[in-house]
Amino acid sequence: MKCGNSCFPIKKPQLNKVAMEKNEESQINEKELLDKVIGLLNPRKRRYHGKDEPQVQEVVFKVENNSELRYVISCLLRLCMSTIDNENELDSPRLPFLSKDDAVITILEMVIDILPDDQLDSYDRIEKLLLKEEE
Amino acid sequence: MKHKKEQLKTLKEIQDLRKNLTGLLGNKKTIDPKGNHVSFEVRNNNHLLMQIRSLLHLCVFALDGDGMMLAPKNKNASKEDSITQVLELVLCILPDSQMYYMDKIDEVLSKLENS
Repeated sequence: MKCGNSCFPIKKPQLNKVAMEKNEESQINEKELLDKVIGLLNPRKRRYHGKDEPQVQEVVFKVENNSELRYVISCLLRLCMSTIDNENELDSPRLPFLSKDDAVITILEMVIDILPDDQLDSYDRIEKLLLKEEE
Repeated sequence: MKHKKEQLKTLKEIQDLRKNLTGLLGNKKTIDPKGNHVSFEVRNNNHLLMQIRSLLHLCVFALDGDGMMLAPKNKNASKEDSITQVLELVLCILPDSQMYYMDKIDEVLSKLENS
């Protein structure tokens, strides 16, 4: 491209004043649009662990208290156990109270909690905005 | 009198610690002052989806005895990978701060008792 341009200089069409103004106007519009889109974003809480580390985002899920946190953890471990040891249906004597089905339900609840609701919502709204502009 | 002063000081110490420790449920540094939210970290949305996927994989594997996924998209789901992911998640949500806090309380209380 570079070579072609230097060998055969193409005469650029002179922009008249009206066109320039129009151009400026559209730039302003684009800036506004960008601001709007940024306003619609729903960013998660970010955290930096140091200069060289990439930033991480915080995902939260709900528990009642610390005991429930422990219960969620034990359900997660329980699922891992029954996945590893699928044929052996004998329940571990250490966890007689925790049935596989209960564990699955708890974890599914947690999954519902951590689904990216806000992000998908932002996405929908941004898409709506941008598609409306295009029309 | 002196003993009471020490007690107050210890109480203050415990309260300050609770206020300033990150990761506890429901103090100033958490998102939700009621203390109902546990947080863990992901790199981006894709990473979050990967975590969710592994959790669901485990649910499927646990419910279905053969550990077979029928949909073509899930053919690559491997037990080991899903388990690794979920164990990593467990490591992230272990109650580190809570245990640290308990140890500290234990420490200051026993110091008070022995003094």
